[in-house]
Amino acid sequence: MQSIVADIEQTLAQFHPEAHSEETGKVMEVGDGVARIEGLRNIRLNEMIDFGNGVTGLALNLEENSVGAVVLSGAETIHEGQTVRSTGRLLEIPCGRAMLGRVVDPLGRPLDGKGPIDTKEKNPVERAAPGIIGRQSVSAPLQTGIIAIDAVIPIGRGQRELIIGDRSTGKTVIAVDTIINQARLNREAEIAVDTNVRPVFSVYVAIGQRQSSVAQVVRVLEERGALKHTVVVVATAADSAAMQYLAPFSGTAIGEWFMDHGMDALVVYDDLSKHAVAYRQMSLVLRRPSGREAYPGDIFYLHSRLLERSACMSKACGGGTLTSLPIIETQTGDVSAYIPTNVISITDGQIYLESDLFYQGIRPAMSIGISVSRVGSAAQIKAMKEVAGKVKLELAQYYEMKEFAQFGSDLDAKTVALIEHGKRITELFKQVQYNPFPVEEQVVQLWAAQQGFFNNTPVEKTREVRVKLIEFIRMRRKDLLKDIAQQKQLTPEIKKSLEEVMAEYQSLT
Amino acid sequence: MKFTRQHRRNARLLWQSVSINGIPDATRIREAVRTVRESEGRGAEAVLRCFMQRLEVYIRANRIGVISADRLSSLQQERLSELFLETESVKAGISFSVDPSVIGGLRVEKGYQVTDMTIARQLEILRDKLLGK
Repeated sequence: MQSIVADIEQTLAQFHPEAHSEETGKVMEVGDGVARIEGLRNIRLNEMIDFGNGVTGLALNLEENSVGAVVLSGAETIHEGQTVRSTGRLLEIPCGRAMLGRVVDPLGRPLDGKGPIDTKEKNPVERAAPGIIGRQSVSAPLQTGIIAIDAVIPIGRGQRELIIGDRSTGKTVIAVDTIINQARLNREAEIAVDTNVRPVFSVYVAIGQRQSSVAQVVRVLEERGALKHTVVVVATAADSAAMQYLAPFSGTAIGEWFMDHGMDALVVYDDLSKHAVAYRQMSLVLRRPSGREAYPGDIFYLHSRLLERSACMSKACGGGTLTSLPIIETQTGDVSAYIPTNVISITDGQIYLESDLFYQGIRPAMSIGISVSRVGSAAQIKAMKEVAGKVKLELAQYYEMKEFAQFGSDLDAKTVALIEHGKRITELFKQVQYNPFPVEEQVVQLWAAQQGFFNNTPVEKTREVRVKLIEFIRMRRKDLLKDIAQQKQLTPEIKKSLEEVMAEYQSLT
Repeated sequence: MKFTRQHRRNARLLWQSVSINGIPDATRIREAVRTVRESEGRGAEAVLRCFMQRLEVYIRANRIGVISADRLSSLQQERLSELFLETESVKAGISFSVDPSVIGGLRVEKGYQVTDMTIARQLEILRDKLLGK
């Protein structure tokens, strides 16, 4: 009590009354989440406006005689003629380690009922992307735990890899699997007290989704122990277009805190198609000129300035990284539509998911042919590069030869072997959701496939044999997996051990 | 009434023609309005309405209001008027009003620029400081 009294007395002693000058405005009209304000002549773009009673807005349209502001929440309490004030501040969001494990809205307010977030650190929601000089090439892998991606479309820390496909093709599952795998690696490094492993903290941004879908994702992350390494930023379909517009920027600001402090972070934007729609709605209500498909003229800039904030910083600038996995939903597989082509041209590669493959049972339904990672094998450990190097080519040859096999034509032995090998690789690439493989187990599987281990296994039994093989190695030769994980390459000793293990397994089965 | 881009453009040009150093002149305004009305040109009414909107915005932006806790004496009002009203052209006017909730001091509003020297505002600032805002 005495300390509180002392604080009050100190504040009073330091207080000097002085004239307070501020700029005000008057609300001329309000509707659809946008308020038109007269006055505020010196307000800056994206400056926060105080409507009173805890209601805030963002100045987005600076016109000759008025200001167009989007109201972030509580628009129903604003009335015509109301006086508003400029705050002199840009929009900021709380950030820091205290955000991990929490579900928040784009303003940083908690939604999970776990109480206030204890952090004093804040980052601006809109910020310029890091410059060219401060960056370095992407070289460290971001292991998704999905064998098809880590082998053929590897993602590096600091890369932007787009996940694109029709509805219900498994886009969110890929992102959630990646987050779960990062959490698994973080946990293992904590237990082993391994300072060589750099943990990756994840930010999942849900934009315009159903609340039930978001709840399901949060539940899965919690069940898999991934939530405490993740921040979930939510702006559902029930939230205003302004909140849906801000959500990805807020998520990026949270991820940037980790990057600025020399750590690695991953941001998933699920999904940017709905983000573009929310921005279109906001721009039309602000009466900005519309262009193609009624999107505003700066729709490309909206996503380019967001995704350019992901980077791999040089050691001189802290060495932190921010990796992005933006998600885009296409309609009937049309990747040549406006928003998909925009985001494809911005990102460093795309993972294209096809409905046909999904319904054929190939899950993840990734189209190897048109999926690409522009970083490529620079983001793979040596061991994976060695075993996966030829896989893409083999699969391409398999898809080509598969067409001939359908016509029942006579094929030579080499072609038959190629087709059979391709079928088994395709089976190996199928994976149950929310069950990521560690990279060392992926290397073992692919090495076994390259050595012809699965050649005598019926195609439909390939996955079953894969599971048994991995379980066998986990039980009998865990040290081998550890060696591969630590050395990150297949030394002659490791290869010899792998041959021995395969021989042992085959002799027992 | 619908205003086209041309109407707004013409109204802007009209506004520029009646202003001296950015401040509209009352005599020029009267003359310009009479000329436009007499011309009976196409869209004259729309141009005049756009022009009137600009004038209203200017008046609102330059109107001076003084709020005090208690009624100011005539001498006080006169001295404040001399201080604030410098120009002889369009006088946006100065108004004096009473609001007991300010407790003491003055709040001067020039358009949307507010200089607040009231006790109520000082107490608000002190409250925010104590709450750590």
